[in-house]
Amino acid sequence: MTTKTIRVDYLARVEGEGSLLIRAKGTRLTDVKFKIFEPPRFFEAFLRGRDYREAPDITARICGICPVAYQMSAVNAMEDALAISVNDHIRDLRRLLYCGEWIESHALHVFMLHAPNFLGYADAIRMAQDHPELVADALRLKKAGNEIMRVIGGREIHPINVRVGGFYRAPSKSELAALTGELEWARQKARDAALWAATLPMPDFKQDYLFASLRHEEEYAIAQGRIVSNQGLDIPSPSYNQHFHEQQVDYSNALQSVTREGRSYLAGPLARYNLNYDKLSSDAQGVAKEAGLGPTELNGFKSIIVRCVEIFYACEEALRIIHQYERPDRPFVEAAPVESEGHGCTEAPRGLLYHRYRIAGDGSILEAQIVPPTSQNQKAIEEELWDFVPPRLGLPKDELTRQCEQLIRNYDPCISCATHFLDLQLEQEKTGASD
Amino acid sequence: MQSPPVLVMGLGNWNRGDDAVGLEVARRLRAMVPGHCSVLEVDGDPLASLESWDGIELAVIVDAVSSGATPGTIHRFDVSNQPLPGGLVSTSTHAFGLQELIELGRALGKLPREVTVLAIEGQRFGIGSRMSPECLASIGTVIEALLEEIGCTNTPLLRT
Repeated sequence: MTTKTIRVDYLARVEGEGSLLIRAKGTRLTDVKFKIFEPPRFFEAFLRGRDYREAPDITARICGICPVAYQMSAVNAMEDALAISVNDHIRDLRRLLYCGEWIESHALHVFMLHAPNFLGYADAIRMAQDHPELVADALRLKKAGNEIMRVIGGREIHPINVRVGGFYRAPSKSELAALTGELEWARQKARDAALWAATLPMPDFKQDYLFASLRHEEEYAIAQGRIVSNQGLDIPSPSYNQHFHEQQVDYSNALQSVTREGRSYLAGPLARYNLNYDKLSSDAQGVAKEAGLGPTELNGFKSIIVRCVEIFYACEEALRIIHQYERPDRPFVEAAPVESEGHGCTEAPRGLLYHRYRIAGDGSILEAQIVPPTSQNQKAIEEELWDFVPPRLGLPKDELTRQCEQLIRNYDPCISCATHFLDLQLEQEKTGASD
Repeated sequence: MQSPPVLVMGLGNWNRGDDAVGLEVARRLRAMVPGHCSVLEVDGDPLASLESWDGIELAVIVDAVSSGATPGTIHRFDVSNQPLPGGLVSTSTHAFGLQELIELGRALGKLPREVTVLAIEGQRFGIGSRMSPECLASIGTVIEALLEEIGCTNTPLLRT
C-alpha cells in the first residue's frame, strides 16, 4: 500500500469561489466587483435533450442545501407546459416538503454561517467551543427539517420522490405523525431563536430596496403565487422574462439579473417578509413583533431575525399540514407530452427561483432557463457594498472583510461548494501631494 | 467480547469526477464489513452525518483530495487528537467541508475516540466529469487499507 502523509492545503470541492474586489482612491470607492461561481448555467446545457420527467431530479443536483426548490420550480414549469393541474393533496404535500427545506436551510444559515459573523467568531467551529448548546440546538433544528425531506422526499439530500404531476409515493399518515414531536420542539426553538437573534449587535444600515417575491392570496407564498414587488409589479410567472432579464458582466461567470429598466432588486426572506407580512399567521406575526420587527423592515442585517420567524412559520405550517393530512389514493396526475413551453417560480429559502422549459412533442427538453436567487441578488449585493464600504475604508483589512462578508451573508448567497467564500482584494491608491 | 461500534464514511459528489471516490469506496465496502461496522455515503451536506457518530468508537472517513500530489496517491491522517492539516479556515458559504465537520464534532464532544481520514488524490473535479483512471485504480488499495484500519483483514468477502 502506498501511504504517504503530506501537508494538504484544502480537501476536494475545488470548483468555485466568491471574491470581492474593492478599489479605492483615498477614501473614495472607485470599483466594486463581486464575483461568484454559478453552477445552474452548466445545468441548462445538460438538460437539453433529456426527457421532461428528468428535470426535477437533474436540477435537484444543483444544490445540496436547496434541492427541493429546484425540484418544485421544475415541476411547476413542466406542469405549466403540459397544462396539468395538481390537487390540494399534492399541493399540501409539496408545501410540507418545502417547509422542511426552509427549516434546514435557514437553520444552517442563521446559526452555522451568519451568527459567527455577528458574534465575532471566525466560524461556527470556534463559536461551538464557546456556545456548544447553541450549535447543538441548531443541528437539531436543522435535523427536524431534514427529517421532513427524508420522509416525503425519500432521503434528506437530493430527494427522489418528486415527479412531474405529484409524487411517486405519498407517505402514510403515521409516517408524517412521527415528525410532530420534533416539529413542536423546533417551533418553540425557532421562537427562542428569533428573540436571541434580536439581541445580536445589529448594524444600522437601511436601504431603499426594490423587493421582489411571490405572493399568494391564501397563504405566505412558498411553492406557488404571482411575482410582486413593492413598486406595483404583479405578474404571473410566465411573464417573468418580460420584466426581468439577465446580463453578462465580464468579471463573473454568473449572470446578473435586473429589471427591464436596469434596476437591481432583492429576493429572499426580507423581500418575502415585507411583501407578505399580512399572510403570516398571527402567531408568526407575534414572534416577529416580540423580536422587534415591524411589518416593514429595510435593514438587510435583520434578515437573520426574519429567517428565524420563517423557521417558526414553516414549523407551524408543517404541523398544520401533518395534522390534516389524509393519504391520497393516487399521489400524481399524469399527462402526455406536447410541444410546449412552461414556466415555474417558487420561493427557495434564499429567494425567487425561476425555471422555463421548452419541450418537444416527444417530451425531450429543447431549451432550459434557470434563474437562481443568487444571480437575481448579485447586482443588489454589489450596489449595497457601494454604500456600505466607503465609511469603513479605514478599517483593517480583516475587519473590513468580516463586515463585507456579514453583509453578503444577508443574502445567503448560493455559492455552491465554493472553496473560498470571500477572498477580498483591496486596492487602495493614495491621494495627496506625494502622489 | 463484543466489537466496538465502527463507522466508515465516504464523502463526495457523484457528479464531480474524482470527488466521487470516497462514495465509491463506501459503496463497495458495504458488502464486506461485519455487523458492528456501519457504512455511510455522504453525497450532500456532511453536517447531517454528525449524529451518526453517536456511540461510535472508531471512524474512518474517505474523501478525495487535491493537494498537487500524484493522482491516486493515498494520504492517511490520524485526526483523533489533531485537526486535518491545512489549518482551520472556514472556506465556503454553505457546504461544510471535512475539516469543519471534524472540528465541529470535536468542539461538540461528538468525535469518536479514534478517527482516521483516508484521502485519495484526485485530479478531475468538473461537473459531469468521469473518475480518472488513477483514482479508479486506487480504490482496491484504499479498501484494503480501510479493512486493515477497522481490523477486518480476514474477512473472506475481500477475496471476491
